[in-house]
Amino acid sequence: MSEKAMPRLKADTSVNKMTPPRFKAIWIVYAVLIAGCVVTVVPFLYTILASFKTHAEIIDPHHQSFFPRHFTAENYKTIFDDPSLPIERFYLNSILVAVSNVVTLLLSSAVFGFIFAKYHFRYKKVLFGYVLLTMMIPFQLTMIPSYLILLKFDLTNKLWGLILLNWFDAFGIFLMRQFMRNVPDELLDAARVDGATEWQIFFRIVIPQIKPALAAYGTFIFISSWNAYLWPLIVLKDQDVRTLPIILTWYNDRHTSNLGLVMAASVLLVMPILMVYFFFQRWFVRGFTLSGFKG
Amino acid sequence: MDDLQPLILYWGLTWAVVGSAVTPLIFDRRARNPWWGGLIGLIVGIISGEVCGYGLLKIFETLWSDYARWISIFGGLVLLLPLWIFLKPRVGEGLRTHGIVPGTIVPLVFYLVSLSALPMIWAIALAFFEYDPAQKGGPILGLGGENKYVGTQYFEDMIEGDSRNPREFRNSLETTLKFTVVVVPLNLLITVPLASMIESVHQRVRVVFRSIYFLPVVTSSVGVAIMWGYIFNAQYGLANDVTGMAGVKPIAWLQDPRITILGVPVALFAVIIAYLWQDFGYNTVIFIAALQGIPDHLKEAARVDGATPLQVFWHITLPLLRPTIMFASVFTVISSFQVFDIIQVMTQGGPGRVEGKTKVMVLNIYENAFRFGRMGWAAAMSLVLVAMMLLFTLFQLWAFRSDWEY
Repeated sequence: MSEKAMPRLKADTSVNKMTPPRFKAIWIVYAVLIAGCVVTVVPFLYTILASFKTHAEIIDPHHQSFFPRHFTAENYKTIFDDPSLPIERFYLNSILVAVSNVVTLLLSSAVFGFIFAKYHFRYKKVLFGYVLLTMMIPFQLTMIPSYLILLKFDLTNKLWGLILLNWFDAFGIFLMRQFMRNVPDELLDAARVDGATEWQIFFRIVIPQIKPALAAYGTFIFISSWNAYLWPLIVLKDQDVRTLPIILTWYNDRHTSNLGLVMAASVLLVMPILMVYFFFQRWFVRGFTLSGFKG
Repeated sequence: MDDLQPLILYWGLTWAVVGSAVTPLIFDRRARNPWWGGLIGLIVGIISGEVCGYGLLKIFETLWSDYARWISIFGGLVLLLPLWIFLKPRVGEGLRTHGIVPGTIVPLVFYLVSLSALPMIWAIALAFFEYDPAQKGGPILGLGGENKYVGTQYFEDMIEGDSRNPREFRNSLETTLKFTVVVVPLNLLITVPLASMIESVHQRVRVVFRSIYFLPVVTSSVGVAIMWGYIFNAQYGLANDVTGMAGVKPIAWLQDPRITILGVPVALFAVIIAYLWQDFGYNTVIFIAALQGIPDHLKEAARVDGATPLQVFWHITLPLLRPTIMFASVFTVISSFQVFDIIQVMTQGGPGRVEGKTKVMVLNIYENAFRFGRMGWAAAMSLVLVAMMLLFTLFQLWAFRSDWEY
């Protein structure tokens, strides 16, 4: 194609004529993109607005409206006053698990990533290959034996079950290694000459260099942990150790008919993450898309 | 003895890790080979943890019974501390290497062998046993004993069994395939054009669009399922309001097993929409990143040659995106094979009890393993699931193969 078109490129004027129009149908593009935004945002708005509607309004088949006609915070009041639903406890559970996971996984991934990036030892390639291989094993295969192992450790039905044995993430190791390889060796050698130990090098020199990667990976762990559903559903049975998503489905089953109430509850689950998202937006996007892997 | 079992595991695991992490550093200080330190620390840690832990437990059970279990955790120190303190430095040339390497690698290998490889082997073995954790099993991993060996029975059943379980399995396999076959092309058809459109607008606006489109990705899938469950509610939902404007009668989206759209039951259709809505932002962002990596001069050259924007997209952008499309497609297939949250919350696999219209494989595996105690059968199904993922991945790698670069 280009060969045929080549001869047409004669004078400078023609080039100038061709380059500026970026996309003539730019308005169509904007229309499509804005329509996409509407589709993305409407379910959120619908949920949030429904949580402020009265029960009577939601179930009235003849007067459905998008915006609440009688704005009420009754649903939220019901949830916070429900003695069978100590909501602050579930927030605490979710935060505890998420923060612990962030700390242990960040630390272990950084340490192993550092070793794989900066040291040479025999069978390193084999070992690293195996680490990468474990990344390919889908969770569904190992979830049954993993549960049986937790059973042996007597960790089922405890929040510790989601924390203690969860300190190895092949994806995290891979990620940290990629970033740490960019830290120049000369920097490490200089520190060695000055008498730093290897652990000091790790904490004082390498970690500060890869802060952005750590932040991105950390937010990724936090969100995956906050949103995790299947594994906590398997591990946690008792009411008071549950994390937010599980308590939400339980609440949903109990109040299926009272939609406003359930919507208020799901707003309470979703909102913290969305709030955080608005502040740390770039870390979020990066954390999720780093080298193109999904959690 | 039975309530001792968790303790035994803690004793071993804790001191295997501590022993093999700390001892190499000490060996290194005393100018000895740290790899031996790692190995010795591992062995001494386990032995000391188990034996001395048990000893401490027995001693303190009579003296101070409330805290005996906690004290027994420190059994590992009984032998490890003397080893660390009294190990003699080797005289002669003190060549210090990096104790940090064995100090981290030995625990890692220990973990990989004991807690990462084990579940995989166990998962495969389970598929050949009638396993229920409530039953008293044999000595090795609880296999055998009351959990009796059934050979390849489960796999034969899957193909030609006529009872309830195999039928349910085949139904879930079909549902999963339907789900994937609809989701993946739709996802790519939405995300690739969307990403290139976002890429073509001004930098400032681009960031705004990107962050809005990414919102559903960070939202809890349980929240998404409940939101969309409301939208598809038969009586009060938004979906019926919208279709009602087009003159369609209200549909019980999540309850009606008979209505289908192009062969897809409406309930599955509803779930697919919710899933697509949650997931499309992810691939969009991936494609935006890939598009930014395409050198401008290629597009510029085509434009100079007089190509229209659509031609540029079709002949330049799309072929150059191919590797990214391949990876996106592979990961989208894998994640849609694994769909669980949204379906479990929105429809519980229904409508329909045995052959639920939205009962996908992971849901079926979950219910069999953790609600009905049929772990062997569930493990067999999960093997099939993994095999399918592998097959689809290889197929896509083959279908998208290319032998050129830019």
